[in-house]
Amino acid sequence: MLGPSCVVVDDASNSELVAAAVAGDQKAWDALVDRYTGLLWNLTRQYRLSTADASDVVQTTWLRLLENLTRISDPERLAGWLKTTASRESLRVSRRTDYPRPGEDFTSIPDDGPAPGQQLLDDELGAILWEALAQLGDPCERLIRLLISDPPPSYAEVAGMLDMKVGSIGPTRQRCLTRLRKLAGLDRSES
Amino acid sequence: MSAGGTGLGGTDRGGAGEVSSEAADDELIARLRRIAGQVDPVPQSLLSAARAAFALRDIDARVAELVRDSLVDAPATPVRAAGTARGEEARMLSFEAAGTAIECEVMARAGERDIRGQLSGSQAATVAAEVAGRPPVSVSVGAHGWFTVRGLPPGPFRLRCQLADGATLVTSWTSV
Repeated sequence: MLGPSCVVVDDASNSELVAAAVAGDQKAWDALVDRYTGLLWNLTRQYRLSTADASDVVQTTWLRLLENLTRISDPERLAGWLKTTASRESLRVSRRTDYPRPGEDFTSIPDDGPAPGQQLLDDELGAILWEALAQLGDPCERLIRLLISDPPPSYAEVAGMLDMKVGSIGPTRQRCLTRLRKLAGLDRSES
Repeated sequence: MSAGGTGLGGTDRGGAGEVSSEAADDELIARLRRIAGQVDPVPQSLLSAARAAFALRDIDARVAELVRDSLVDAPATPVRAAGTARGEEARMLSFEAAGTAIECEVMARAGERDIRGQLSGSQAATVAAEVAGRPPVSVSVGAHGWFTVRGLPPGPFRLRCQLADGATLVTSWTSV
C-alpha cells in the first residue's frame, strides 16, 4: 500500500516528481530517469560521441540535476534544463583534445556511435532509413531523434526539450518526415 | 522491399485512396523507434547507474561550482607544448564556492585520470575523490592545500572536502 508521501509516478507531473525526490523518494527519481534518459540519449547522439562518452554525458547530467534538485525553480521547465546541461556537456567532451576536429581524420575515434548503414539491421529499408536520418541535418534530425525515443515521449516533453511550441511539433514533424522520405527514396510522388 | 507495401511512403495517390499522411507519419516514427532500439538502444548500464545515482544525493554539502574549464574557456585549438603527444595536455578546472577555490589539473592517461589540485581560501582537513558506484578515495592534503588523486576512471567525478571549520564542500560533478 502506498504511503501518504508516495506519488503515483507514472502520471505524476515533473513538479510532483521533483518534490518527492527532494523528500527522498527513490521511486520518484527513478520515474524522472525513466522519463528522460531515452530523450537525453538520443539528444546526445547527435554530437557523434562514442557510446562510452555519451553515457558519461547523460550520467553527468543526472548527477548535476541531483546536485541542483532543491534549486530547480520551475520543475515544469525541467526538460529544457536537462537539454541545456546535456548539450553543454556534449560540446565539452567533443572539444577534448583526443577528439577529432572538423577536417581531421574521424577514423581515430576509438568507439564511434552507430554509423549509418553498417548496422546489424536485417532489412535493407531499415538501414536506408537510419542512414537518411543521419543525413537530415538540424533542426530536423534533432526533432526526429527525440520523437523516436523510447519510451515514446509526449509532444509536450519534446517541445520542452527543444524550447518549441507544442503546436509546432506536428507540422515540423510532417515537414521533416517528408524530407526523410525523399532522402530514403521512399517518396514516389517526387520521383 | 518496395515502399508500397510498407505504408511508410506517405501520401499514396492513385491507390485505393489516400492514406492518411499522419497515420503514415506515425508508422514511420514507430519504425524508426524500432530501428533505434535495435542499433542504438539506451545502455541498460546507463539506466541503472542513473537510478543508483540517487544514493549520492547530498543535501548538506555546499557545492563549489565549475567556473572555468580550459576545454571550453580556452581557444578551440590548444597550444601543444613541444614534445607533448596528442591527448596528453593537462585540462584545468576551477571550482568556486563563497570564499573557497579549488584548482585542478587533470592529466589523461590511457583509461585513467590523475588530478593534482590546490584548495585555497579555506583549510581542508581531508579531500576525497568520488565517482559513482565506488567507495570514495581519500587523499592527504599537503602544505598550501595541495593534493593529488591518481587513477580515477574516466567519467564524472567530484571532490569532497571536509573543511577545518566543520563544513563540507563538494565540487560540481564533472566528467573527465
